Amino acid sequence: MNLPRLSLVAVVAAAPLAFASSPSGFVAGDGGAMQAATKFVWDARAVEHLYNRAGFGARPAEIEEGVRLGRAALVEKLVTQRAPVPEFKVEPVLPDDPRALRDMSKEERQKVQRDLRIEDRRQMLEYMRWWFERMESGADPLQEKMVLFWHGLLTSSVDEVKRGWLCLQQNQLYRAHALGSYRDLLEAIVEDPAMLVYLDNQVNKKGSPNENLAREIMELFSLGVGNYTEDDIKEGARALTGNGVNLLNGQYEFHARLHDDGEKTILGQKGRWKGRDFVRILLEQPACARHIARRLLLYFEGVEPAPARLASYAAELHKGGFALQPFLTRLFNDDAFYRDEVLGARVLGPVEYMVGSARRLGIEAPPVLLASGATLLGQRLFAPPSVKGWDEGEAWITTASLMQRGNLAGMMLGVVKLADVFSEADLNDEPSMDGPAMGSDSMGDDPAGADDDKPAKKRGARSKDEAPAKLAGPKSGNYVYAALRGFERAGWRPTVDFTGRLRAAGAIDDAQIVDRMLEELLAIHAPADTRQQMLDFLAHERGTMNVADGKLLDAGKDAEKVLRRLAHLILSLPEAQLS
Amino acid sequence: MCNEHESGIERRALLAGGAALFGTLALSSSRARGNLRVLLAPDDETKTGGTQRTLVLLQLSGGNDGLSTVVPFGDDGYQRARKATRIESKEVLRLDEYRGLHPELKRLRKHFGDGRLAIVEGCGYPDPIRSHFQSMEVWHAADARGRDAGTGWIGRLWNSAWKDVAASELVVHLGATAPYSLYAPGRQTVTFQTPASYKWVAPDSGDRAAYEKASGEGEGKPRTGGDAVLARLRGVLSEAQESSTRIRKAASRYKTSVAYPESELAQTLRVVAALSDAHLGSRVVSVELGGFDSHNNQRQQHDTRMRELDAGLGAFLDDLAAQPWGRDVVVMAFSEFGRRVKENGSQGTDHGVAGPMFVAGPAVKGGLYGKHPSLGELDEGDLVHTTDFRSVYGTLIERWFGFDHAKVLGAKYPQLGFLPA
Repeated sequence: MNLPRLSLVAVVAAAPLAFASSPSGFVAGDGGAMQAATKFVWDARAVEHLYNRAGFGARPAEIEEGVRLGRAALVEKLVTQRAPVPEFKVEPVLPDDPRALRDMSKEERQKVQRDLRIEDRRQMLEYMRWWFERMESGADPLQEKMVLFWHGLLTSSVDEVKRGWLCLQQNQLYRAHALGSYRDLLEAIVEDPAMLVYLDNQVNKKGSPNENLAREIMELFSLGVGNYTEDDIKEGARALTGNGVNLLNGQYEFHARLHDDGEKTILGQKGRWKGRDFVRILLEQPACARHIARRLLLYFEGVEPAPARLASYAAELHKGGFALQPFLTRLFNDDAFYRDEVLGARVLGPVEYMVGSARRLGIEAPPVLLASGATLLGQRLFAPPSVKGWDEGEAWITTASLMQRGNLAGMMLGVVKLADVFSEADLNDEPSMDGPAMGSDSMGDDPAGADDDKPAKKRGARSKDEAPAKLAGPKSGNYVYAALRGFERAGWRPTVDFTGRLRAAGAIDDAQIVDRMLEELLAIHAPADTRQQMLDFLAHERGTMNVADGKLLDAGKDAEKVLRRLAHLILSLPEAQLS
Repeated sequence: MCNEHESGIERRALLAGGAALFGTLALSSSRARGNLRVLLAPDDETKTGGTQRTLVLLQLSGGNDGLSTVVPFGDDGYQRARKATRIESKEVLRLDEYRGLHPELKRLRKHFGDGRLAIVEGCGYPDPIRSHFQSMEVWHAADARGRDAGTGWIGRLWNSAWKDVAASELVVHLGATAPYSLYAPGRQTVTFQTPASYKWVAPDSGDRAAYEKASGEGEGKPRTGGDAVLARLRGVLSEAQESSTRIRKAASRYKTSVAYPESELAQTLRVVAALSDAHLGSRVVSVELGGFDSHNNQRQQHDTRMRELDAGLGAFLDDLAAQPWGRDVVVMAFSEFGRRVKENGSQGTDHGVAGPMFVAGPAVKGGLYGKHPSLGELDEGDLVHTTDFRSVYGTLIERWFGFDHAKVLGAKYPQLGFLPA
């Protein structure tokens, strides 16, 4: 496996910025939901805002190009143009001959299953690396942003599914429909193996229903609380009976024998409904379009939509058969999307912070660092804290996570040491694969794995009990820690050249340097007091070095060190958490 | 021990209060005002806001099966309804001829015998909700509206009873994200998972000096939505900077004769003990144990949770019994709902309604409170609650913190006897 990627590509962005003002003349006239009298202007700030929300932040050249293209054209590009993607083919992780397992001794069987778990885990880490590279590269930012959205909304956790490869297949499903239609996604989700295992539908049988899937689909995936009754859940669960997984091959399978084909009444509709009918009924509810429209608006704007605006977007989503591209095209062309209330008011999630910081620094950070950093900050991909996904927005920021975000930026910049940020225990709950491997005897009645004999996991927290077992070696949980330590030992230094970049941009004295760095590293405009503090820092450091203002960039290595520390400081600011 | 506290104050005094003492404008913020009050306080009382009493909230997330926690083995209804999840009469740790504790709750059984554990049976609320999230919100807000109530119940207590108390670690959550119960507009809960990682790493002293200023008050009124969020994040940073050193010192200096097991809950509760030992003025400390959503294979899964609960809480109660400050700490354990009486088709149980709450500590009058819900008279297959959980909250507010519970809960609830009036 080639996870520790040591060839780090230097990205020296030297293009001058056209930040200050670019009156490219695009003044929208559709006013719409915008009450304020201020006219919309398509300028660098608006372009950056669009890139912040529809992606993971803009690089300087993208801002220039966006201003030139104009709003409609840039939106069309982001929404409709898909970048060619190197495929990741998810391989099933199954024993060669599942039936043969039965004839094996206990030890032999355990060895087969252990090897499968290791393989499953290896593939999952590979996939994470691939995903993070895609987010970091920025080739198709909106697509990646939407995959992250669906992963958080229609979520499943590998901690319960146990088979990582089923979770990866689910992710590929979200990838396929990321900008397609929510209708297709909801239809697919009641036949998605990972989801069926995650929400116990394997054991939802005629005569002894299990309500978990029906409830969470209605509450979280489609309608929202208050738009169905407890009876609808019970009847919905009956409709979903029989939707199962063949654990010998990991494929969806309809078990007619387990299906309750009696009449059900769901949301007022009577019939001998199956899973697909259940989904159709949900999609017909006005509450469904409203729920999904709200989630999308909240995700992209970061503030609760006003009722009238939500109603309008929901109606169009419904009318358009839940197609996502028209929805997003309208949103990103809506003046209200660029209003003061929205600008800079969205708190970056951990994945966005890690990826965004790397992009803004212009470095290619090792994906394993981005992934572990996001985990430390509370967002372990493929392992949300609950079926509700992650709490977004300001909930991401705690007294601890705010400081840790800065620490992780410091690691990216090589000014903070691994040991100061992570302990081995911190990384111990990378995807836990302790369940029975696919294809083991525990089929049918025991989908989620019988080995719940380990401590409960708190959201994003580590599990100390598991530490001894996982210290075993590179195949275990500390693989990630070992990989990070490998980077550090090899002298991981981001190949960023602040001195060169600043010189090329004509930023020479303290004020110019600070302004330029704040502009490049923050998604929002820094307030005056923050700017002054950064100036004070620089003046203090120059004083220590005995270098005059305007001469810092001539100080060689020492200058670069100070500039890295300045970048670390900036990315540690509360301002750096906003977009 | 007091020095960490002092140093924080001194730093703040230099940053804000120093100017304030000379009558300048720096007192515009509540944070600065609070610090000034501490600075000028004649005694320790004000620093930590009067009494040192602490409430530890232990949230059992996922819907703990009450019938498998306090088992009504003497009830035919239980024996009939439960098969795969049943706990046999010979296994239970008997409390009397009707009920007993889960067999894994050995240490808690001992604390019950020693009179330190109160069990309030059949806790719930009217018109119960079976969604994890919505029901948990009702418990957090102590209000049927959940989050729409606007504040958590501890948040309301904070903003009424302790609104002038300046201790930074007044309300603490050990975990990734603080629960809604602690939420109060304008307040910052100190939140961390482990003390060791609760810090910002400064490459050099100049960096630290600059970073400390990043939590400044800023200038002028917020103009955009972003300005408003930024102001709040600066508040979070201010709390973080205030508490980071103190928390880490408290945890590393803590010594106890009690051997806490290695489980996560136990280690977390050890940190809670360390906070109390350091007298940081924490009134409410919240911790969470997850994994109670036992839709399938409940017996095995739930046994494990009970074992972890017993090991962690049992050790913590041992520690409280041994420490001089132990009488100033009570623990309240709760879950968002119990589970259906009848099992589902997968050796588990689906979301239900009422369940028991635990209140424990050396100052607690142990025993059984409330009334076990009837297994004969169910409401559509669910237990009917016998005690509104707000009676437990109300008793704690009134008798532990000495505050009018109706002011926090919006109504009067019967007081329970687990604390002296």
